[in-house]
Amino acid sequence: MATLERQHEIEQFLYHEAWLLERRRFNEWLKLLTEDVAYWIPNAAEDGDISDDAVIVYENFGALRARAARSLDPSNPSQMPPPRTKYFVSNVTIADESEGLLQVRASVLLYVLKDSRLEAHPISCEYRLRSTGDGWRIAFKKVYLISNNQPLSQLPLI
Amino acid sequence: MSIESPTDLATLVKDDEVHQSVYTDPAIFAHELERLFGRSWIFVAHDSEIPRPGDFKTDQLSRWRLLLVRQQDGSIGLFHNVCRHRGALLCHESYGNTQAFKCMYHGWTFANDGALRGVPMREHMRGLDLPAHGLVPIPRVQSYQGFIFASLAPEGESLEEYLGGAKRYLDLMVARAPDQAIAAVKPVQYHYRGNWKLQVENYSDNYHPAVLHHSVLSIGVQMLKEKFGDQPLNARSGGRYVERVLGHGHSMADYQGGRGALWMNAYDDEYLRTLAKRAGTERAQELRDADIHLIIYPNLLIHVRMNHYRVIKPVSVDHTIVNTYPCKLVGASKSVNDALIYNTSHHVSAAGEVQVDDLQAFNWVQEGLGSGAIEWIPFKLYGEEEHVDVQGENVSYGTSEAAIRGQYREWARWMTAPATNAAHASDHSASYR
Repeated sequence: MATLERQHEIEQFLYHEAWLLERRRFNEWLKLLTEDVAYWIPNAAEDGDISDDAVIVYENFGALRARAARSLDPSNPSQMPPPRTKYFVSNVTIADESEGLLQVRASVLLYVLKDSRLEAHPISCEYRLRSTGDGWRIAFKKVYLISNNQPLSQLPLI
Repeated sequence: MSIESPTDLATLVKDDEVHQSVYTDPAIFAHELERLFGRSWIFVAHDSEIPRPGDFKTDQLSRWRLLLVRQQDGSIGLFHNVCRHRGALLCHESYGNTQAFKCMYHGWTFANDGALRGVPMREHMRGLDLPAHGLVPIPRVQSYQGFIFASLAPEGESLEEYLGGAKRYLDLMVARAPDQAIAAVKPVQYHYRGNWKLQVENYSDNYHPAVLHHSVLSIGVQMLKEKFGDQPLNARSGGRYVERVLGHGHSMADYQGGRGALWMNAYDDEYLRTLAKRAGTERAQELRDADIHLIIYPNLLIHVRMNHYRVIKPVSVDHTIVNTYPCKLVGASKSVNDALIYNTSHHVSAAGEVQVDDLQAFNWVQEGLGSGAIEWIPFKLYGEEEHVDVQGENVSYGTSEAAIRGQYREWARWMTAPATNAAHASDHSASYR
């Protein structure tokens, strides 16, 4: 079991990540990622074979950097006007801690307000966090939307 | 404008103008379900979704609930997914494999061929004709190159007659696979608050990409420049693409290879060599570079380069679901197929790069049309050198709305056709005759 300090540290890290996303400070969010990051939003199920199944997103750092730029591009129609988002992060569990890599699970309730519609997205997030001299960095993030087997419309950077 | 009869429906569509009510009026949407979706051939699945005996798929198209089952002899059974007893939805899974379907309410059980096999307390039933209480079949099911279509009308032209000039592009889908078969994976699903026809039109509309998709295209063009310098991307066509209106509302837009294949970078040398062994080098290159949007009216869109198909599922006049099935090319390497699935996913998903822009446009068009501010929508964009070729197909080059005009000719044909061939032998709720 993780120490109280470690638990607190990780929760604060995830709250900070959520705050950056909510404020659309995507370029600062990129700085939380490792260069070899893998970011995955599975399609239709909680898991899957990344190459054999369709995905909603599976991206490396370069693709995420392009995604961040596109999300901030004022000529991007899907961001017109930019969606307002609110993240509620809870149920933070440090599942495993070894060799400077933490496996963390968290529940996220994401609200997205877009075109006068408020959508709720309950999410299970799975992280692998790497310890660096400059604090924790995200080496892996899986975003499991429980509605990923339903038709979806437009998702923000989560 | 109020709609009293099919004659009135005919007045909503002119040669190159369409009345806004075809997108916004719930009564017209109801007519579309009965007259167009209820009578034409609608796409329901690809063979590879249910390959083995006992495999099933359920789906929903507006109010219709469908149950598609692979029979022991390899044929397809297609039924309303409704228990013949009290009408409960019978099967609740999207895909699976089973020998029988048992209703959760009173336990009536149906074999894969729809026959009623088990009725609890049947000895106490009086006057129940068991053979007459099998699952209600969809009147006609036919397939072409593995694409399975259904018609709710017991009579009418055959699927092959209906597909007509579109058949050779379904042949192309198969010919591009080293083992001459494609295999679908589980779909990516999106939806939008707009009429189903907005998606069909959008798929043949090459007027919008440079504007609507400017944000993502500018990134793509930059990537191409970094990779290939200033070499022309569409060497074969000099940058022009070809649009063919194939009749029956079907159409194709041929982007003449090059650009997309380079951008996507899915097809490797091994793929080309394998195809060349069967088809020769020149043909293999043509197959590899094929870059075509195919529309099989009214509900199937096919992307030849990315190797996916999309099924349009109208929910209501202003709500539409689209399921996109990435497909593998059977016999191609894992890296080719991984790239195809990846590219389709990122093209269409709700967090993808391209389709999200279109969904925004659909939502806003529906809202704007719903205001009633404009009555007639012009489809007056004509391509270059538009002509009818020896096959009787309307051909043009460059950007054109010919395909959309073709879609509305077919729309008007179904919407105004007499209802004498009893669209719904099994559909007791049809209200419009």
